Amino acid sequence: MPAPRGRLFLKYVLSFVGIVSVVLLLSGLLDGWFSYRETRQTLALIQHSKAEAAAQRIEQFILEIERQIGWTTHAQWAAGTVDQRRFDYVRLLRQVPAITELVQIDGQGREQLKVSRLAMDVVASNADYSADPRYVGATQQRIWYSPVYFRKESEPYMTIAIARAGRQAGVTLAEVNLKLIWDVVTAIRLGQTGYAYVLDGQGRLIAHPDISLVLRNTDLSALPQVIAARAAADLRSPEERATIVPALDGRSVFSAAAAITKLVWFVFVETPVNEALQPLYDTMIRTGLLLLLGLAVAALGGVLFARRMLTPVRALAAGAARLGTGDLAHRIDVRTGDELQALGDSFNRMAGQLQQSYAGLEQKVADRTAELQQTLEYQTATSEVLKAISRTTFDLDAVLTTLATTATRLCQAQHASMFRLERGAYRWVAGHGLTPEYLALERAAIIHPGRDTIVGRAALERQTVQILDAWTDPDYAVKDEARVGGVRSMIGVPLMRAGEPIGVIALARNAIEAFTPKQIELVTVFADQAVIAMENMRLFEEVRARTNELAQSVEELRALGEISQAVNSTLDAPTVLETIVTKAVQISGTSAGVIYVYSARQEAFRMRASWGGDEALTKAMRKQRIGMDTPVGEAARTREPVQLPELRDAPATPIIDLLLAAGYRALLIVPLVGPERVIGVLIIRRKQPGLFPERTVDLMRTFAAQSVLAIQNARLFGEIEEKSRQLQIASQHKSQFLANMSHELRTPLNAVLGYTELIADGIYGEVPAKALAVLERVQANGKHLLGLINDVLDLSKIEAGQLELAVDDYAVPTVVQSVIAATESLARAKNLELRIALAEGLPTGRGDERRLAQVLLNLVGNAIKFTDNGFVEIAARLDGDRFEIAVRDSGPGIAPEDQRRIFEEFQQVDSSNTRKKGGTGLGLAISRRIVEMHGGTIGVASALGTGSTFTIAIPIRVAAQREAAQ
Amino acid sequence: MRIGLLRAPPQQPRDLASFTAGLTELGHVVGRNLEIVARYADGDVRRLPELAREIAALSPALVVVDGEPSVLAMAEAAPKLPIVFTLAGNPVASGLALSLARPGGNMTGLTNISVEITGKRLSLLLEAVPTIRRIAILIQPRPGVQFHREEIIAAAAQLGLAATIVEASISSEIDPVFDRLAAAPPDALVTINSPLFYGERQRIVARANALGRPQIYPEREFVEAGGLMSYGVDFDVLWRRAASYVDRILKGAKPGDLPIEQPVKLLLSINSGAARLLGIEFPPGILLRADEVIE
Repeated sequence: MPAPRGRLFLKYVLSFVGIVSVVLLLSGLLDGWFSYRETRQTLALIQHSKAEAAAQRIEQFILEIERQIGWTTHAQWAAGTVDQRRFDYVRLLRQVPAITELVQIDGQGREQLKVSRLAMDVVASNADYSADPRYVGATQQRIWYSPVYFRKESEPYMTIAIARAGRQAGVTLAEVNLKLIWDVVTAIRLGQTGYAYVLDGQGRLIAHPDISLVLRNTDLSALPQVIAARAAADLRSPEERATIVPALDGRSVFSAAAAITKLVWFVFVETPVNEALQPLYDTMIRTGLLLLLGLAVAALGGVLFARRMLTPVRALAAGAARLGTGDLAHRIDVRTGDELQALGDSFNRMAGQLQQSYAGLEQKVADRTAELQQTLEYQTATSEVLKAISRTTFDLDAVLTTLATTATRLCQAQHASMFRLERGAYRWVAGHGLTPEYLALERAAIIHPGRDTIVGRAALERQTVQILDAWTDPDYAVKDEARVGGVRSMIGVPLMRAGEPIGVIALARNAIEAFTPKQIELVTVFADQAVIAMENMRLFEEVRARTNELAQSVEELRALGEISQAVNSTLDAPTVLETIVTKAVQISGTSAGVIYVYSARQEAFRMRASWGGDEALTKAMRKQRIGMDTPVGEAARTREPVQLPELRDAPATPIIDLLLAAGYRALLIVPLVGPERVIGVLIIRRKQPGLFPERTVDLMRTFAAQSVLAIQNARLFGEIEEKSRQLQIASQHKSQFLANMSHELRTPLNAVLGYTELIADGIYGEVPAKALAVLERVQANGKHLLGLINDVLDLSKIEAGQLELAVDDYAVPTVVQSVIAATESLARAKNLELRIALAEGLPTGRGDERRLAQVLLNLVGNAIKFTDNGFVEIAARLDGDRFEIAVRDSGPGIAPEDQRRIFEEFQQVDSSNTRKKGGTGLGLAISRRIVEMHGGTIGVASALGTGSTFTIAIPIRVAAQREAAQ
Repeated sequence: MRIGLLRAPPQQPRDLASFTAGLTELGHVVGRNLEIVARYADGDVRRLPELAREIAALSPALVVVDGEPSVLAMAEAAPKLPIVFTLAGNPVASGLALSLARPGGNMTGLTNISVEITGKRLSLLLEAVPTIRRIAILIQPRPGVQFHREEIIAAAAQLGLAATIVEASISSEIDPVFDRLAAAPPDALVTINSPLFYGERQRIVARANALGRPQIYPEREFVEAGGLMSYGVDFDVLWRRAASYVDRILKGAKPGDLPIEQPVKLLLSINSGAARLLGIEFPPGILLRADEVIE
């Protein structure tokens, strides 16, 4: 929701302005209304009085005319001469411009004189006026006013008839041009544009500032003000005497009327409303201006007020917002001294209380967190303990130590000890934080239930007990020890299993400080864990016992199996017997064992194998003669095992004394029963007295049977081996002889060849051609013989195991190149093509480069030797982790039946060709040996007439020399 | 704003001054917001039509004219143009207006009722010089003059006077008229309103006085010029009033709606010098009536 910002401001301003303006408006209206009424009333009165004044002036105008006429109405005036009267009339005309004509009528109603401005004067016309209303009216009323009439239908005229004084004195008629009232009317000033006008009784206009209206003979009887004036004359109230009516020209005028009763005329004064009410308008404008000023002031005031109101309100809002966002430390600063300040203070108080509440809450949360943390710590600890327990199930001490350590730490104790019920007493099994002295004391302690110790007390009460101060506790008996351990406050928690205390955890502090319920609870949990751990341990021990038994059975079986295997695989009797006695001791769980074999020739048992026991004892025992009169002899005789459960009780013999001296206490003697006779005995011994279990005895019988078998086998094998050893020695002698022989042969042969060559070279003089040919034959045969001897030497060396490989890094191409270099001339001599096909990127090999070159040289040499035309090719490539080097030729080929034979010593393909080519027949044999010594293979693929391919495959890297297969 | 002024007599500075003064009073100041196109026929009414056309050609808002000849000339030259007149006779009688109160048409103005008071004028002359038995009536033949003629003949008859009518239409005819009158001088000389005479009043007065006979004129300017007496309207007032008509018409009033005014005041002017010259002594009644006595 958007914040309605600024609305309040507007509201304040508007309401302020609204209220003020309403008040002002009301006041203005009321004021205006009353002012209007008052002003109107006043104006009406003024207007009316003006009308009265105007009427008076009009009347005065007429009265003046009457007065002027008056002096011609004296009784004696009519008696004057015509000229006199005429003179007077002229003078009257002169004095009163409005009079146009004067007529003198005598008492008989006859016209005596008529003086006019326009017409010729008439004297004594005797015109009869006696019935004329003018005359009649004047004679009856003395002064008579005629109705207004319009001469030439234009100019208003009136006749004033005045009777002269005296009986039958006659009448003077004056025709009055009422147009002249215009002067009077226009002289009446009514403000700026106000005017007065005069109407006769019929409502016709007599005088008006606009003379043309009068001249037009205007009838105004229809005007409302005229109707009203004619109807009501003076009966109207002052304010009604002036009304606002439309004037002739349609404008609104403020009209007031006054009657001239005598003439039955009405004088109206009219002021255009605008002007008449100008004061009123002024007042209203003033009021309006004041209103506007008021509004402006109100607006200003409203703005100021609103700002004044809003500033604290906004401060309140901002403060509330800040409080709302949680800034409870914020205080709203409003100092208006009114309710807003009170509100601000309320906010501040609320914030304060909230802050306090929060603080309290925070404290609670902190407490709770701490509590939770502690709980968590305890739970973590518990879980760690559990983990430790699960991790170290087989090590109860570790578990208990962990429990003790953790409990000490969590309970802020100095040390903790775990006691376990063993053999009817509680004994220390694990602990933490104990000083060495105190630890020694605790280790030695044998505690029984009772109130004298914390452990005893916990065991006795079967619940957690606490001693606040061990030094002062009356029942606590081991105060000295407590002082040694620095123990003051302590608790003991029994380890309860099935309602029985199987142990106690004791925690101690070196200060007086009670353990809290929480800590006690924790220790209780730990106690439960300890119980579980102990239980686990117990169960585990049981399982282990079972497992051990099982394992023992398996072990026994395995031992038997091993013995059988030994018996079967090894024909060496001492080894077998050694194995048997070793296994027998191991399986039986005894300390040592020995096998004696009966020597019929000596009529005594001779030690053949022994295990366990020290060398000195064995040596000493070996010297002792054991005859048939001993328990051994008894076993041999009875063919049943004999037990000596306690050597101390046995008849003393030197050997028993030896055994006793060595600490042995019990013996089991099992006879080795052969098919026909007892061969010997198997004896096992141990340092614990007591009978051997039946199981062991049975097992030993089995061992004994195996021993018999082994001894017999060994005897047979020994005989065979003796024979073959003798054969081997003979073979070695042969090889040695051959080697020696070869060496001895080679030396003189070299001399023969050397001297022959010297002779052939003519060193000793000219050699005849015949002799030279012979010399060459000597040389050729000598060289052949030398090669033969060399090969034999090699072979013999190999067979004598004297040939050793000089293993080093080599490059196949280098080897091939050296072979090519050596055989190139030969191939060329026979016109054979010598090809090389080496694969790219052959890795560096490791082997005996010289010997490999020898092998290749042999193969290539053979190929050249046996091939008469065509080619010989050396190809080398990588085949997995081996080099494959092939020597191919286009020679005669080798028959399949010959292919195996050629790799054996002194074997050649028996053919005329072979003999023709010569050779020792040892080359391939030697090659095979060398390849095999490299861990490789050599083979041939060939068919008669298709050439042969000899292939050797040797590991790229030869790890060590292999013994060449025979 | 432009208005026309068509007058038969020569220019009369005094009339014009009154007229312009009246206009100025009403806010129309010549030279500022008002232009007066004035044409004078110098007494020769035959020139009026031409002058009227001249004025009409200048399209004035209205034309102020004097006398019937001017009215007729103007109305002929510009029938729609508003006309304000200053008549000597009765416009209703002469057919220029339907009535005084509501003239209708497009003309209005003032009448100086000179025709109406012709009898009175004659009687005043007789009152001043009761011995008069024969009179010569000097007339300028012109449109509308017949009402004067009839009126004065009737009045003379009513007063028992023998009247001889002499006429002069143009300036040059004046002296011969007087020459003829000199041959057989009447007892008195009466002139009828005439632009020619008005313009030639000096000569006329001089010739009349030379005859040694009393005279009465309709315009006081004759008396100023040495004539014996005059009875008629005050032209100052007349021309001032004419200005109000101009004002109202210029402000939008229809001429036909404006009533024709009659003069309130008639002036009797006498010249004592002329009286002495002529051997005449004014009776007290005349002296009493006289509104001004000029030496």
